[in-house]
Amino acid sequence: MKEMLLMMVSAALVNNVLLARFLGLCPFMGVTSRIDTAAGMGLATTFVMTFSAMMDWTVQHYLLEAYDLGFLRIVTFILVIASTVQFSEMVIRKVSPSLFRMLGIYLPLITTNCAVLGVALLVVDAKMGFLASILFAFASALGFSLVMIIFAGLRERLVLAQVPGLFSGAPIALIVASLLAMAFMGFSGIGTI
Amino acid sequence: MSDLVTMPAQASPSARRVRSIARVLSVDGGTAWLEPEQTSACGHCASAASCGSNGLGSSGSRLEKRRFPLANSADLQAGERVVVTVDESSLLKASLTAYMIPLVVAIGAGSIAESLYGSDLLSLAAMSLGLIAGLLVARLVARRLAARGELAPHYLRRAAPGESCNAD
Repeated sequence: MKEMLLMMVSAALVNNVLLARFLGLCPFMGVTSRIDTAAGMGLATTFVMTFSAMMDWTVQHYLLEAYDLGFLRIVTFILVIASTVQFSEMVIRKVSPSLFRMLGIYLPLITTNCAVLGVALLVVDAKMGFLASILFAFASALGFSLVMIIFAGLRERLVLAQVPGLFSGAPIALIVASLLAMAFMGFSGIGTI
Repeated sequence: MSDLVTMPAQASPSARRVRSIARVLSVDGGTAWLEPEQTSACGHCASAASCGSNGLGSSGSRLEKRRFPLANSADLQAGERVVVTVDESSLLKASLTAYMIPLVVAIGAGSIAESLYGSDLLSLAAMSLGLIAGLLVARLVARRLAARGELAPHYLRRAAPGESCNAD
């Protein structure tokens, strides 16, 4: 239990997918102009990342390892992630058309999010058990969402700040991102995986 | 349950709102059918190759799926562009309902199965069943939100010529 908790804290904060592993930087810069869109994207990514890890773990253990097809791992995982995204989109549309109309835009963007594939590959490389894989992916995704929301909050304040013309826009956003990454380095030493 | 928007035209000014531009496709009695306007970014992102321009999964077909009805209290005509708004808190509630409820129920079911039986296969089965149960719970919550009109966009005003959703 303690190891599981430590692994989750490590995945979310110490080895944050965005600020320590530098995965999923497209939505980090592209969908963080507002807190609400960043939160929506973060939660959608959490959903897809966790269930993709579940599907990828299953495929890895009962198909790729069982039939010695490890060389097909990346191609298979990409296919599994794309299928998970499409399936999630269809299910949400069926479960609640109103929710789909409001949130449908986020899911297709996740298909090409490298953080989802990166976490699935990390899970397989670490040879984790089923529940550990799921909790690792879930915690990684929560860390992703946390950073997205923090960065969106900072960017909303940056809009109101007086920034020299040379630094306005993307340059100051990148400087803030680097400061945020340095702040997250403060979590180093809590635990690693 | 009807998805028809029945909220008043003027929403609470205190709430933070997300604005978007939509185009009126058709008017059917007192109901106008709108489609969110495709932003200039559509078709230019890293996913453009997989998104394509035609057929299933294209931005056009995605917009078609997201058509929504609106009570036509402002005498809207087909082809008009209007500004619609959604509460920021509604967006968060919708995200939590659609993604977090199924996820938490599924992980809870998987964790319980793991602690009881210690079998990966049983945990996988329990998590799959938990996902189905979570989606059913999410459906119920979404119905309640929709009944309160929290998932529906509200009409704000007609869009000015050349106005885009990124204008303000």
